[in-house]
Amino acid sequence: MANTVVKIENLVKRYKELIAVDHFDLEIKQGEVFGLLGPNGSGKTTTINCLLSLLDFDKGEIEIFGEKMTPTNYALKKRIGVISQNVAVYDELTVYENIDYFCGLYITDKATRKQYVDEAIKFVGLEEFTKFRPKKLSGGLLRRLNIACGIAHKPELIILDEPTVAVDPQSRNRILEGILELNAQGATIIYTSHYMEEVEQICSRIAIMDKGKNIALGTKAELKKMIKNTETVSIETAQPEDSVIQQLRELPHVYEVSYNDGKLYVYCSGGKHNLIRILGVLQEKDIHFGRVYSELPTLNDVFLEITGKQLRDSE
Amino acid sequence: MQVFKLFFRISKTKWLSMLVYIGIFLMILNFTNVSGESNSFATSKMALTVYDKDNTTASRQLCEYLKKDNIIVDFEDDNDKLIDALYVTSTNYVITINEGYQDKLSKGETDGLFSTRYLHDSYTNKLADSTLDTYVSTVKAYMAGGMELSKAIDAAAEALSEKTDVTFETFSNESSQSKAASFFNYLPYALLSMIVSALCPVIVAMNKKEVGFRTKCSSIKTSSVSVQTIAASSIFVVIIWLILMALGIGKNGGMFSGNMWYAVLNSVAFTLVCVAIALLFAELGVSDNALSFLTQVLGLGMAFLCGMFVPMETLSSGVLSVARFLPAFWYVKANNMVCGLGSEQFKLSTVMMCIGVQVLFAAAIFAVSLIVKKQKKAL
Repeated sequence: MANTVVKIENLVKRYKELIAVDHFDLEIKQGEVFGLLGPNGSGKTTTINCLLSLLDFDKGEIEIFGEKMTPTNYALKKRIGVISQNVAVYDELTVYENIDYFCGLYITDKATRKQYVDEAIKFVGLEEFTKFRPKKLSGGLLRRLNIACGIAHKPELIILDEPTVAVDPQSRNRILEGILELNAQGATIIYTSHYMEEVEQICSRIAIMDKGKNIALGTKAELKKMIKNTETVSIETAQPEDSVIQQLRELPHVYEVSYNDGKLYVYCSGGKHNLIRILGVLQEKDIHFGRVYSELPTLNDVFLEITGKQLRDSE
Repeated sequence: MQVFKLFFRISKTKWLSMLVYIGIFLMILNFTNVSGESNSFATSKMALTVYDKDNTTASRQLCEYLKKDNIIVDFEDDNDKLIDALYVTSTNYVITINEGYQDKLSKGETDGLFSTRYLHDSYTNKLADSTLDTYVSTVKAYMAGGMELSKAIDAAAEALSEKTDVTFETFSNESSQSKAASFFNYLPYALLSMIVSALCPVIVAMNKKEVGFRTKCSSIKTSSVSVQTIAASSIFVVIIWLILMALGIGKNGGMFSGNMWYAVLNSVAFTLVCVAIALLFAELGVSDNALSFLTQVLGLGMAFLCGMFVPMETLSSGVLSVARFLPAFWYVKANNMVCGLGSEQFKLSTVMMCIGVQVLFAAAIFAVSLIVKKQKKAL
């Protein structure tokens, strides 16, 4: 059985009256790509800051690699790499100097450090930009530099706090591929994001946070099983009459029907051939329709069903 | 030593601005040294306007005598025009030789020989008064010895035409000391400009929130970061101070002797003030553009208010009362005493008090920056 890398028990963090993290529990195993998903302000970054001992917390226990995490546990900090939401580099240093500096905060041996820095530069594909200063880099390249600075010392646990904010799709894919590669090399990953697609794409296990609470935890499949919805059929059509909507509601496995922005949404729970039955009703009533989609539930559906609001409400 | 090296890597980008301030400082020094040369002598000539109302042999001889060593400027005898001429210094002094001059002089009378006009008291007026007094008393002296008026006038003219060669002899390194005095007088401007414009942005860059976050997450001890930053900042400031001292030695030669060591100590105290100001600005997160503006305002403001660019004696008491609340005032006060620039005599206890006040200023500014830091953390 894999070792526990991170263990958070009953974590509570308050900012005066506001409870930012509310009795939060979490256990992350070695080799996992663990996703911490939640809307902005749900407590993800606060949890990470408590985990890293950057913030004092009111209650709870945090252990990393079986040791209690404290601000002065430097041996433990050496095994952790952090990539923050904001690009954290020195504008006055070149790409190489930046990576070398941050690597040097962990690795004192010059030869080893040079090797690690070269490897990090290669890993993020910045070989052609080593002498560039950060201001000369594009947003995507800057993010890659940010990642290189966080992973150059070869940490066993890498924490990425929304590393793809304001990044173009091409760079985003490259970053996500890189994270999976780091995981393949043996690193345990904690990935926080409010982009459910990214979390679905790379994370083996996910915790969904809302208002500082861990509202759901499991693999993608486990999370989706928690909810009633198994299929959502959406059809582009004119507003149907109430009788049609009623007829659709009476179909087997259909538990909800709604009409929004020129689209008819039919929510199904279990069963097979739901789409054929739904289209059959529309044809029978001689209703014309355009494009038809049949979608499996997403993490947004999970979040919606549990909290009653969209994951991206706050965006 | 990562943080220590980082400090100097970042500071490399600030050397250009420091070179600019070194250039400005050298220009100021060169300018003041050229204008401050005082080891040559030349008889100064006054612009005189003479009206001879007596028109006698004696009065004409006086006119001839005055013409020898002065420039005679003719103006219409109109009071308004003369006042204008005196105001714009076209003439320095107006002499009217009154009617009866020759008669009175032959009788040995000196009252009412001349009427004079001038705009305000100055050394030229005193010199003109003295020239006339000397002339009349010399003529009178020869007449008292039994000479006739015409002969006495000739003898007096001859006696007064005797010239004395004047040369300046230096028995100490006074010249290099006066240059050193000028160097130490302008030094605060350079110290403040260089330290604030170079140290502040380096500290701001190092304290950036995002990179601070990354450093806090790393395995380097917080105490080690602080020690390395303090060590690097101190060495950086010492380098700036040494560069300026080297400039002083290079320009003025052996300026460190006797009391001048107190000037050196005074500059160290002011350096502490500059460091404290730089740290305060850094804690306030002053941007590069704002910093450049603030450095100029502070540097030039203190230079003019506290008696660096303008001698303290010429500043009004109101300005000096305000200047007392600025550290540069105490620097200049101590420096004036040490270098003999002002009217105050050297008094060690006062010099040390001035240095102490500067150290207190540094401590107070540093305390404010600590409060700002604490407030920022609390936010």
